Amino acid sequence: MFEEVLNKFIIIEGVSSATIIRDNGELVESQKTGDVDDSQLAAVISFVLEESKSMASKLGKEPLSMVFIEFRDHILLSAPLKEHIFIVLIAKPTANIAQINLELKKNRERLSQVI
Amino acid sequence: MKKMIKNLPEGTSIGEMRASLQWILSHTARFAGLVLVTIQGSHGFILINMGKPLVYYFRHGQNVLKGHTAYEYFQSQPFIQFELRKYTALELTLALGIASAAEPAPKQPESNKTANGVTDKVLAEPEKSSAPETISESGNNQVALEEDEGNQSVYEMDTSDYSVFAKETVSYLGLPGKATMPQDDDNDPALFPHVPLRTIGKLLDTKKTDIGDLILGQIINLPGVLAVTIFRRGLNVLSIGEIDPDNLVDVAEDLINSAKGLSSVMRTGPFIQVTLQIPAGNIIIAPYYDEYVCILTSPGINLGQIRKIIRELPGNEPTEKTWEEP
Repeated sequence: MFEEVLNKFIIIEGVSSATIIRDNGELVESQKTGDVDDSQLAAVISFVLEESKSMASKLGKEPLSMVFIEFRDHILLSAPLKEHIFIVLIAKPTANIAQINLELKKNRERLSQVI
Repeated sequence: MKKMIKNLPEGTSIGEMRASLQWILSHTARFAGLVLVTIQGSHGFILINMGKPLVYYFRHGQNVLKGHTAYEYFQSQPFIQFELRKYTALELTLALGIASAAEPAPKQPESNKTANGVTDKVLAEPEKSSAPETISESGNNQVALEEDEGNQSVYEMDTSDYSVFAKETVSYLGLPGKATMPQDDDNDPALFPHVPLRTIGKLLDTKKTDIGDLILGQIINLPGVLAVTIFRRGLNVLSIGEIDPDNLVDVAEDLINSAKGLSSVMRTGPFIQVTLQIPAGNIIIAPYYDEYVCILTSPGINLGQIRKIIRELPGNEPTEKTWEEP
């Protein structure tokens, strides 16, 4: 089920990886192309988790909908699916962000239901 | 009105009670948030930051009271039914932006005239304008006032500690480095760099000779943009819009550090921008000259439009020197 949904992101041109993780670092599911190094991916995931928690506490009651970080060579999009569970997408900057956002909106509820 | 309150951050309800306006103001010295007011079935609010009222607003049917007029109305009531809603720093920033971006009251054309009056006063040549509208030069902090001399307060501006960029912007806008600027409304803080969006947008839009300033003007005038702040090394350099820049800079710094940490573990190339999306709006941060620009927007703004502007900001070319300590 996860694989099917994550594939919807991977097939978008430019998307390098789509990963679902728990906030304790446990990997739920991951789909990626060969462009992303595993060690880098693990570092990115733990970093995103830590910063998301930190930001959530700073914002108080305001729930975090999405964090989008853009670099020259990569973009990273992180969004909570459910309490303690996040999806992290890594893509090239030429990827269609609107399409990624659309897939996220379409599949977020579906993903959170099966988690 | 209901839509206005609905758009404001929810905050944390502390409780409800009845009291006079003076009691409310004297007992909210350590309170930051919203005072939701109900008078004879109609609603309003006071936005307070640690005892300092930032916005007064009240609506009865089609009649909208803002600023000093609303204050006077509240003061005329022996008792006001109100609810206290505590805000975080970010909620307060967003609420202030939303409240200041609300449409002007239909029966208060004076507010529109006030905005134009501020613009006119800022652009006026000191030697050409009449005494009441002159912005005084350094060393003379008195602004002669005509009819409203007893009612207008003033702000002082001193750019001696501004960054090069901020000083150039002040100069570009024709504002003296040290001046006393008239304040037209209690809720229209004309203290530069905290200039109301409509004023700075109009000022920058009329000058199209510098691409950097034109782009800044474009950002401010974009629909949904609530505020823009330039910061460096944790310090606010220039703020445009009615926000608490220090709190926003605090959040922005965290985001910058997050992005910096990511680039240390991935081959990402130079940092372009980071966007934090929450239900109440968006926070976008990007390098800008030797500083960073932080843009606060309402939820409905077109992110694609913002991204395009960010990518075209001068000083945002993807070079290795992009990373500086925020």
